[in-house]
Amino acid sequence: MKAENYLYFAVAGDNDADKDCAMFPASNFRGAVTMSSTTVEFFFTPQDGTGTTANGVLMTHADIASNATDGSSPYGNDVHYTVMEKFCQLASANRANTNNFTVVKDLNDNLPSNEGAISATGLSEVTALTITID
Amino acid sequence: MGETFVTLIKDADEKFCGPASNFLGLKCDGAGSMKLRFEDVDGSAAATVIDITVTDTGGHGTEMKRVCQAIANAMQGYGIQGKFVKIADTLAGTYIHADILSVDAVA
Repeated sequence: MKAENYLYFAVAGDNDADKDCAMFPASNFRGAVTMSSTTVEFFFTPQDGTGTTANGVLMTHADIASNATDGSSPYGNDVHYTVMEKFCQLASANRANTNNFTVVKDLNDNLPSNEGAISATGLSEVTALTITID
Repeated sequence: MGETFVTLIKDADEKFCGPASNFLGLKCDGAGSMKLRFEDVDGSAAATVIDITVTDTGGHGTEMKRVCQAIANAMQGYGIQGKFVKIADTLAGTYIHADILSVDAVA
């Protein structure tokens, strides 16, 4: 049985206000839904413990209409799929004997360099994040 | 797989110990402030919320990310044995990471 993997997200700017960053266990991932041609939202079991309204991380990326040559997805022009696929690769990887802290996306522009996961910015396709935790 | 248990202690009257598998997640709650949430120990549809203060030297929140990494690593446990981890103990002044400064509330 593999160890839990913890997924880290941070919005642009600094971690200095409510929900500027969040971390969820990968096993709490409920699914992802396309919200528009430029956004995908990833839903998690809510942190308030009610198990009802999910917490969400809305990721913004290039418009699928203007992303005709994505090149990183078997669907060719669908950056929605690329972001979902890469998220799933990060979330479900076999993490045994490795660091189980996974940066899905960190838009903090003051990260140090050359410090592994602390310096990691995550998925290159994602240009903005909104974290919703009730 | 052995379960990992984590403990956070504010003072003599406010302590938390629970399985890492009950961890619901954490979030930034402001500069140098984080909230960790675990499934409520009494079985109600709520969460046990633990407030901690972390270093915020440069005002960028990098230390907060370091603490997130430390907490994730601490909850990983061992393949078979699991483990017991005291993430933060304000009473004793011991923490798993130097950027954790205090446990401020256990509710």
